[in-house]
Amino acid sequence: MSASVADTQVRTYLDAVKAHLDDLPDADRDELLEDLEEHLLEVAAEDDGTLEQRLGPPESYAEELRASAGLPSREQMLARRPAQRVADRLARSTAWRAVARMNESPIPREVHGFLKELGPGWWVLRGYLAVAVTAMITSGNRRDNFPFPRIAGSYFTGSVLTILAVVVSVWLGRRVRRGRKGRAYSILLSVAVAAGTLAAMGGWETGYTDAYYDTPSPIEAAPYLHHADGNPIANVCPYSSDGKLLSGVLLFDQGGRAIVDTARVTLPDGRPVERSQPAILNAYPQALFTLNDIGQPVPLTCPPSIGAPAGPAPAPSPGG
Amino acid sequence: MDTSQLLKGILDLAVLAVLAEEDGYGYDVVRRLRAAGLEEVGDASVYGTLRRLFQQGRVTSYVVPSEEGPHRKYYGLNRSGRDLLAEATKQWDAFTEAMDALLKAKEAAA
Repeated sequence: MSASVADTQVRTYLDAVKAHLDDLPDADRDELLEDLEEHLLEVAAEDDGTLEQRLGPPESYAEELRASAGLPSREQMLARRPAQRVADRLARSTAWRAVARMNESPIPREVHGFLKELGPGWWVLRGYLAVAVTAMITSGNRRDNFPFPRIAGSYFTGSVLTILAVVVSVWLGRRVRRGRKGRAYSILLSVAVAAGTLAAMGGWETGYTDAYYDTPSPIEAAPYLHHADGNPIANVCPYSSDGKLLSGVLLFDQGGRAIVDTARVTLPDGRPVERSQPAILNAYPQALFTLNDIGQPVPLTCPPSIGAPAGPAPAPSPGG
Repeated sequence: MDTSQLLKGILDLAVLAVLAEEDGYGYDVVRRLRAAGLEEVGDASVYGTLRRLFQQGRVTSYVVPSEEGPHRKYYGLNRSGRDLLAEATKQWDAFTEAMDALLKAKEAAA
């Protein structure tokens, strides 16, 4: 097969696979496409039939790629969208009708009617808040979960759960309004979400204080690694017994749970310390950096070696 | 029986085993799996599996420039990947042992 025919074929196949992945979040799609051109060129170079003959239709290639990468199928993704569209449209149209009707009816009935019209909007908000507030409270970290909640460390899971929660919340609201059972659940959910939101907002202020002003806070309130005196631990610098800095040391607690909740701190001059997202969350030391005046990252590294053990004196060994 | 169904369940283990021998890029892994006798392994499944193992922090990757064509992305096992391979190998051994015994028992009864 000539080079140009192969190129055209690769281009066509590549575009078709791309089109079949276009419902995925950009990051997921780009990652899947990263190796694809290389793959297609290699297969095309083998002189062993067309790409379709070798790899099957581009649509099934794309589906196989998604399934093996642990991503939802295109069908599943598209099925989610209409549900969200219905929820959005419901909120918009009823709010619009409420305003329109306000102009023509007596006020007392209208206040009641207006509240009733707000219902669908609240159902949507209630679903979102249920996930967002849960993420904030369980992680003890508000900034990472607003406005997009992160569940089990993943924004994708967070988004999927949010959409599901909105659908369930709207479904429950509509069901109750149509006079079916479930009123108690609906009220319970509303109260729980409202209380959770208040709790998360109450914690908001202290969360900000800790993050930006680096104030030691009471131990039980600090949602991150810290010393017993309350000072935050932003990084862990592990050294071998001869004082050399180790890298990629994996830390776990006594139960085997990965230690990942390092503190966010600022330098004495107020510049925030950032961390690049590591491939392995509990590998230390982590790569910390701050930005200089012209926005360039300046790495904040651990000292490459230590002369003597830190602390006043080595602890006596249990045997001695 | 459709071999591709069987393959799905064990592809992670097969890919990890191939990478344990030597680092490799996507198509290289496909070739080595086929050479090892897993002829029906799907190209896309291997690429997707590599991507997922990378996401899960089981493999690392690095790019090697190539003179002709695009650069190649190599994958290699890290510590966590080797742990997973050891764990999965144990499960596989237990599983095959159980299946062997089951199939032999059926043979003996027949």
